[in-house]
Amino acid sequence: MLNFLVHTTTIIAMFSLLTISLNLQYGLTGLVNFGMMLFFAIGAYASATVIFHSWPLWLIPIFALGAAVVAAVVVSLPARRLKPDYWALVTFGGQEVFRLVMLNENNIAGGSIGTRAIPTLITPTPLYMATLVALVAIAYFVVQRIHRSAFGRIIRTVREDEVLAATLGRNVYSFQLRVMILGAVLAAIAGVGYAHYITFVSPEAFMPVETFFIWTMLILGGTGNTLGAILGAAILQTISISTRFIANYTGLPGDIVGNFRIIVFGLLLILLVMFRPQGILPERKLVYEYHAQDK
Amino acid sequence: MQVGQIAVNSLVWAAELGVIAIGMSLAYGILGFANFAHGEFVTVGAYLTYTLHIQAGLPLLIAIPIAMLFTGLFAVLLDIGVFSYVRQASAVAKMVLSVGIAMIIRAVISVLFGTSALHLEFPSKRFEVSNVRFTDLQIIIIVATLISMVLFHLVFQQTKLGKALRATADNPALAEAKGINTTGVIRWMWFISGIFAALGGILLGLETQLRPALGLFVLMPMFAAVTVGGLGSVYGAVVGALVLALAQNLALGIDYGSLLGFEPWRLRAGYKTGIALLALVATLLVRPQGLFGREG
Repeated sequence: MLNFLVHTTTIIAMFSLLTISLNLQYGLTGLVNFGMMLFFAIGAYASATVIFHSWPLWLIPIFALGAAVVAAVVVSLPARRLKPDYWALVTFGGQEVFRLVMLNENNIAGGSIGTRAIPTLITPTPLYMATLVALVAIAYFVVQRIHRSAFGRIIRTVREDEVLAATLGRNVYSFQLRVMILGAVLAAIAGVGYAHYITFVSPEAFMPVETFFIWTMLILGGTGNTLGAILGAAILQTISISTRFIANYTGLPGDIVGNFRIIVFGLLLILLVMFRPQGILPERKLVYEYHAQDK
Repeated sequence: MQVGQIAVNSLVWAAELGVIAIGMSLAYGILGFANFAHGEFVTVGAYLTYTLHIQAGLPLLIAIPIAMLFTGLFAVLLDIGVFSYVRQASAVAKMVLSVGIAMIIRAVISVLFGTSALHLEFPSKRFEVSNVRFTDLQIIIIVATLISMVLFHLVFQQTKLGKALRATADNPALAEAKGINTTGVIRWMWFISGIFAALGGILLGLETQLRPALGLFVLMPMFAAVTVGGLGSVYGAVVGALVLALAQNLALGIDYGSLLGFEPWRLRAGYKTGIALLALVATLLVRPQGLFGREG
């Protein structure tokens, strides 16, 4: 039971980093990222590549963060010219291209076979869990701070009306770029955490559908609400992990149970968009009072 | 690979993709969002044909139209049950909704039919003319798509429904004000895009094999073809499919190594989807309205 709790909490923490990242991008800035797996996979593959080649471990954070920043810049480039739904297609394709490269090139991290025996580095598991939970806490406070700051006001203006933000003299693109970089770094950290926890990285783990699990979590918890992002990840991962236990208990084949999980997630996504788009914890609109002395 | 072979392969792939992209483009023009569930109509059409032809033993020529019809009706039901509730929602919300639907359809098909490959078992004959290999099935595919595209063109240009479709795509509010029943037009739009996607899926299934991920596999090339042609432009979608198919087969067929005087080196076939994405991004950056799209 304790093991189950530690495992569940670890997974929830991992996905909370992803939902917080998506909330920053979509919830606060309005960037429709349909390619969350790109940045998650970059983190995981930073670890896998280093282990695969038996390179020194200190390269992992350099690879993960460096590649995440580069990918964020590249993916953001078209954002300044595209409508949100066009840009969504670009990100959707981007994650798939990264996966295809990892699937087809055997010399990076084992191609379709993947990389096994990635060391855990932090033992025992409760300590690993604590590390991830601490990272979530840091991410939470950073994003909350951004939410309340002048930067946060501007990105929310960008979300509501890019033209208005530009009229106010803000370089919309520069704000989108900075949000993307921070979002990418958060997701890549989750990816590194994933690689060293599961200890096995292969292209199968980064299918496009995983991106939409993260979307379902965020929309369930509450788009624009960081606490909601964590809540959504917690609820859906608890359900998700429980179904795996049900599979073991009832002896139903794993792929059938997996498909039922996708059906439940898909249904939830549809019902939420149709009937409760604001999620469980709706975004709290901040009201600013105008004080003449504040300028 | 030689030029003639690349041309034949591209033409067949363009035919399958084009017939799928027509409906996608029509839907984008009228509903204003990228429908991720469109790829699943492809899968549904192919698996319905499998059920009718292989499992129920109906002749292929009867199974195919029935499968197309039911896929079209399925698309209409999706509109009645889901999409008609969110007409006023943002494009992003509708897109997320269509993703949810696509997830469910793919999972249901996986549960019902399993994830391993199924075959429609079409006995095709191989031919070879001056080193270019092709099958009789590939000729059937090209002829069938040409006929259906001409039929679509006639309906789109010559009938009252076609006029209403074009008017609704142009300006839904004005169409409504002019007394066009836009709800009815939208239902027809779903029906047409459903049957055409199903046809594409059936032809793909006859040529290759059926997998629950069939729709996911065509999704990226389909978006690319529609974007290259100009989102919302139905004829552009067909040209976009042709351009994309050629680009994909050329990029994979060229021996870059020998061309530059090194050892033979080609792109791996696994990168086909990557080329579709490159075409998509390049079009969006250089000419966002596509080849045939309207300005703005």
